[in-house]
Amino acid sequence: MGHDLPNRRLMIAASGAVVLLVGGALADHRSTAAAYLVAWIAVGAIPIGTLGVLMTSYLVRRAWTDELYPAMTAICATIPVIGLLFLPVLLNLATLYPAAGHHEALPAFKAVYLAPRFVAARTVVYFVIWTWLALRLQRAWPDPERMAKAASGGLIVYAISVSLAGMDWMEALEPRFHSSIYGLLYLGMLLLDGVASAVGLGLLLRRIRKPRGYSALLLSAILFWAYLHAMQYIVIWSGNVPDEAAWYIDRSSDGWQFALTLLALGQFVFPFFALLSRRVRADRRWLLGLCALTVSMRICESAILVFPAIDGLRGWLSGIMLVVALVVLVSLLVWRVVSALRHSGLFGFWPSSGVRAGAEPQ
Amino acid sequence: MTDRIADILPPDQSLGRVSDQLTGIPLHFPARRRWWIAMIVASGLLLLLVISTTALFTRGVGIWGINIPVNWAFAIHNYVWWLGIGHAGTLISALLLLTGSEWRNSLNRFAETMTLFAVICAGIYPVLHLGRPWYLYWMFPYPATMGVWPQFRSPLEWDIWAVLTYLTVSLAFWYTGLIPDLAAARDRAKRRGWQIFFGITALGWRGSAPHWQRWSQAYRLTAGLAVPLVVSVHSEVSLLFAAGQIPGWHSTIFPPYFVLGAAFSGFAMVAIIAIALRSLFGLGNLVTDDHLDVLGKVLLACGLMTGYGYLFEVFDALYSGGAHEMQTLSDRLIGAYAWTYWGAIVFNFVPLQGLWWRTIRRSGWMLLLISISVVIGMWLERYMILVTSLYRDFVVSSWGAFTPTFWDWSTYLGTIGLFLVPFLLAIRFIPMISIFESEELLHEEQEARRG
Repeated sequence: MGHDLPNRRLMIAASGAVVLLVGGALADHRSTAAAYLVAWIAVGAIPIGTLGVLMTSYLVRRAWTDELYPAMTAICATIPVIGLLFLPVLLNLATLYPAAGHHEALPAFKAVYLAPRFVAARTVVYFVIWTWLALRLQRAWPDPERMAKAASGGLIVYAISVSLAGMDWMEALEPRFHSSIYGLLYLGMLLLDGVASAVGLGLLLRRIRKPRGYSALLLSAILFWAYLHAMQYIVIWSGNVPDEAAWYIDRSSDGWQFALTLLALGQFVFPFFALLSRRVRADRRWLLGLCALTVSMRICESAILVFPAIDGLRGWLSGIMLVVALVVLVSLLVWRVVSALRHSGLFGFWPSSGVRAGAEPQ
Repeated sequence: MTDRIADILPPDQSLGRVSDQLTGIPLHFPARRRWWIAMIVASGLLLLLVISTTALFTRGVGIWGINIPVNWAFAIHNYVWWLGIGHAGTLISALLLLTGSEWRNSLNRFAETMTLFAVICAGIYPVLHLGRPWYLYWMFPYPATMGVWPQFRSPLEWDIWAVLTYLTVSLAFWYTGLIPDLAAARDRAKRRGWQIFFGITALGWRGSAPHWQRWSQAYRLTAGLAVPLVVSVHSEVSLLFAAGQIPGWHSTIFPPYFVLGAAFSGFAMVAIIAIALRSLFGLGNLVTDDHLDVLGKVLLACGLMTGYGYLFEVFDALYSGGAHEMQTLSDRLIGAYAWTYWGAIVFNFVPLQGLWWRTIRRSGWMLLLISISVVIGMWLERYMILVTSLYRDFVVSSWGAFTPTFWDWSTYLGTIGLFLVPFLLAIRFIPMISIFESEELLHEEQEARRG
């Protein structure tokens, strides 16, 4: 009974937030839909990204394969729920995506590729594939041969499908813009979020024995993410082609320059310099804090990627609805993760016992 | 995070035997005849480079097949190819050192040596391509009386700094790793000449605890510098193309695509050299089938990631719908140089699929053939990127063609000589497998086995 209380609280919070979302949609459909998309991209990155990290851990079999396995499978169990929660976006494709409205003005390939039904069908296919991959990976455990087989083939399908998904969900908001690295940027964002979520939950579950290696893993994921963003920026800055440069101008004016600065400081400068310190790398509290910071920075990143692409938004309403949508999505994600952990018998950290700072597991 | 999964070196060998075996290669060289044959061929190629360079400097770059619009061809193409090969040496050594991958220990020394000479082969190409190499100093920001400075916002300017920094750090990393082995060779040397040579190059190494502690710190620090350098240098190389507006070049995925392509071709070259050295010196106990297995897996992974770049290059051209982008894509797929595109696809990715099978990965000959195919494929890829983007410019009046001349080929073959001659000398005079690291690993494995 004691464990049901937080679940009930979560459900009450989610229900209240859903009511607010509906109210927001009635007041301004477009701003609420955009806010929901931002929140979904940020929260959806957690299970989708963790799936990629889980497969990598199957291929590069070290201590992390065993230590993070329960956390990662619990997070991956939320993929179908997260997929269902994309439904409001699919129902609002015409509101958010210019290509869904007047696609006859687009080049032939884009008009067909970004047609709303095709986008919706692809989204369904992506979630079917990822759910199937998550189940296949779970079944392959702990047989090394089957794990390697499932992960090697799975990673190929995963890399291609998430790259296409990133383009469908975010790049398509601005049909005049194209960037060949965009899919990889989304993949980098997912893997960073996946590493932070898996390591963070691993710490909460007290599965992690030595945090130093995980700190190095988080640092590598941060560097990979920052590298991809930097490269896109340098290529577009050097080329100075109007359609591409406009993408950055939209994201460095009207107040977005502050969000960009926050993202650069919070997701790169601060964690990078913090993780250079040997003391920080060995400290569980620091690592947990940096994981939390990384996951929360996805909200900032999603907002920068999505909001400036959509015209005619009411800033204050979008901001409020973003918070409300995050409450809904995070509550449902946490509820599903907790259910999965309870099912696997690992539910022990919530709500009374937290991470034991600086302590090695017994 | 770095717990060992399985032993990679056969445990039934003594540390002393490994030392004797490896120091014995330079001191009592086992394959003199084969070495001399290889050296004669390599010297012939090097001579060809000297002749080609002399012809180039006396007659100018017009002896090559370049002209407007294809004014970057073999020189920059081979520059990228050589630099890519060079990168794997640093990657295999520094990155795997930092991640605690024990399988690097038998491969790192010759991979680092390969890096040094490949970077030199790469570095001479832009100098030759200047046509008037005596003006090279214009690339440096010296206080000229006319107040002329290099364009610091140009990747062409970044290039010279990137390559020189990379060469310096690679050299420092290679030499730091070599010091304990040079001391081991010094201690075993019987002849006065060898004693003096290894005595000087070992820098007074005594193997004391403070020596090891400082050495380990320096080695890891240099490795930490070398890994981001590999990524930044090859990303910068890709910006030579991507920073402009030419369709087929101006692509945001180019930096990671080039880095992965470099690792792909470089790992293939490491596999070729590993298999050749293993067979030449009978080092099957140190370069084991397990090493080939891991190399095969890494090669497959790099190849698949390079394939991702190919896929999204094509997809982005289709997605953009831009007339020039589509024209370049069509030129690549069905144009006059389509053979380079399809050649790259076939050589890079078709034999590679064999590496999904364990028996093929563990077979020296099969891995050798696949690696040779990859090296050829990556050479074709760079040719394709250079020529197919340039030969049809934006306006029809500036369309043209490129055909390599005798001098293009002779210079390229000459750089193979420039690579092989010092590499063969290194094989002859330096322990090509790290003695102390092999011993350390063997010791750790034996200790772990004893529990």
